[in-house]
Amino acid sequence: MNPLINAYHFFSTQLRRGKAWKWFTLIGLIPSIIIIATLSFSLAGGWGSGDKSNIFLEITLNYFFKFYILLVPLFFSTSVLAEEIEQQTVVYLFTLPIDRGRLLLTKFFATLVHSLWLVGASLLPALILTNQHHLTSFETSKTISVIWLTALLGTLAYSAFSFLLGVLLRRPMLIGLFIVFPWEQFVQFMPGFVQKLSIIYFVKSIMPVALPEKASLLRLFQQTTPAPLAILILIGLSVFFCWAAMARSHKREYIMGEQ
Amino acid sequence: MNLVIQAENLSKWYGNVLGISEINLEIPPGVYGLLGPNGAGKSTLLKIMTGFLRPNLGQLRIFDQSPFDNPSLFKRIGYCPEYDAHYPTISGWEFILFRAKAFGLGETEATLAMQAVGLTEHMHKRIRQFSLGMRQRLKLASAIVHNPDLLILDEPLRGIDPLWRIKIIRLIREFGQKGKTVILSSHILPEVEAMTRQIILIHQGKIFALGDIDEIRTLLDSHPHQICVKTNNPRRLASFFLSDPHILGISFSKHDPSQVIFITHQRDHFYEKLLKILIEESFDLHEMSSPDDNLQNVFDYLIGRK
Repeated sequence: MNPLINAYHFFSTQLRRGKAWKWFTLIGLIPSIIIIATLSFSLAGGWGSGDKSNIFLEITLNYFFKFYILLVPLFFSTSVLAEEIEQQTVVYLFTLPIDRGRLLLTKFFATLVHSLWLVGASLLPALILTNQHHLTSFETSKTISVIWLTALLGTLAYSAFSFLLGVLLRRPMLIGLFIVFPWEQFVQFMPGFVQKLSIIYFVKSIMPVALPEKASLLRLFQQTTPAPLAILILIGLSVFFCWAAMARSHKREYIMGEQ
Repeated sequence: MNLVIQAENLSKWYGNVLGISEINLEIPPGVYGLLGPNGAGKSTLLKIMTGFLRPNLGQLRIFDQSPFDNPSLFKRIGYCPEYDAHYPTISGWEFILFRAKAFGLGETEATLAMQAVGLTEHMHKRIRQFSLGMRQRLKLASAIVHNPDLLILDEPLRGIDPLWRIKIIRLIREFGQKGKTVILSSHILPEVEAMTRQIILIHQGKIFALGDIDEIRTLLDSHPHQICVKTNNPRRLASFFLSDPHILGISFSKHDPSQVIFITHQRDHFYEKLLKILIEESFDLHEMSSPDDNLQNVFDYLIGRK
């Protein structure tokens, strides 16, 4: 067996057996559970029987595009290297006759597949439930598909960025939570070129519907890039982040335990 | 002579903290004990050998190649780290099989490695269910699975039960007997003595001494040496040495009235004279020991702690 395929299976096994995988599966199902609970309550005559598609869509888009597709990559992809260093298991990886960068990229690929699965599998039921009355419409199906694929593309870009953070920084998860998360929200208030210094800007450019914004000021500054270009940029950025992470992994030193 | 490890003016520091300084080493095949107190630079040296750190000055070559970011070299190197690092959610077998396959090997080699450390019975348990000793043996299995030419072992016997210590010591000696090289770092000095007579003493980032333990002992001739003698009349025995210029001190044990302790820097002369007195004066010799007769004391003497 190719050593990298062997490594992919090894990393995937670890991911699937970890507690994080189970917790994030549950967290991802929260919007669907809320929608099902609300629909059940409505059917029982609790909140009337009006169409709540817009409310559900707002919940779903807010939850996934402002929270889940940032959190899942941040958690899994920053840990590609950081977890190995923290657990000191990096000694078992970097004493193998496999190029460090390729080995880390293999682990990143395993975490990416799992992140895509988490996002994809939890967003799809939420979108279907949200649009339950319009599923036969071609336009609705197309919109759902584009939203779903955009979420996956966003997950790819955030994962690649988190991978790079994990290779560059000692505490990437903290930096990610306290800098990247707020930055992605804050940058949308900035006019001009600054907005382009975020991933969410390009994700929004692909979205077939506008992301719900509480602040009306946001709409004032809302700019977009043509969707095909935004897709290319997100893919290009992902490739660049992965390349930079691999390059850095070759040059950095690894200090574990006491000197 | 084929040199396995060569270091030339090897230096490494972390900011203002010195790791190792101007280390020069030439190590041919064999088993070597790397000794030194905490902070002496052992870990830094081992991390440079295993390619995790890059020297600031000088160079280290293993099999004539630099180990930093050189994955192909690791086909010939096995490393067992000091710390209790493991993947808790996978089984011991999955871990060793992953390592074996990464080296292009298969289940046969993985099974042999598990057998060598006695883990075949428990190999399908998750590693988090392993005891400390079992995890330590698993680390050893991961280091030897590809039958490397150079084995770097950091505290290899930590947490291992006495029966398996003996087996692991035998395993390490056999490695050396096959013409391979083993560098082992340990704090438990009698264990090092059980595995090798070749030692490398490191202190304050420098190589303090390198060679056979007996050769290093010859360095000690000018250092004071303690010899404890238990006899039926220790005070009378002591009186024969009072005027001896080679005796630096004589003391009596508070806990054992039959014991007298001599301090000398001429051991050969002392033993010769003691033997003569014991015979001529008909002393009953109950016990004679040298508390300095182990690596810890050799080391303490050399670094000036005693």
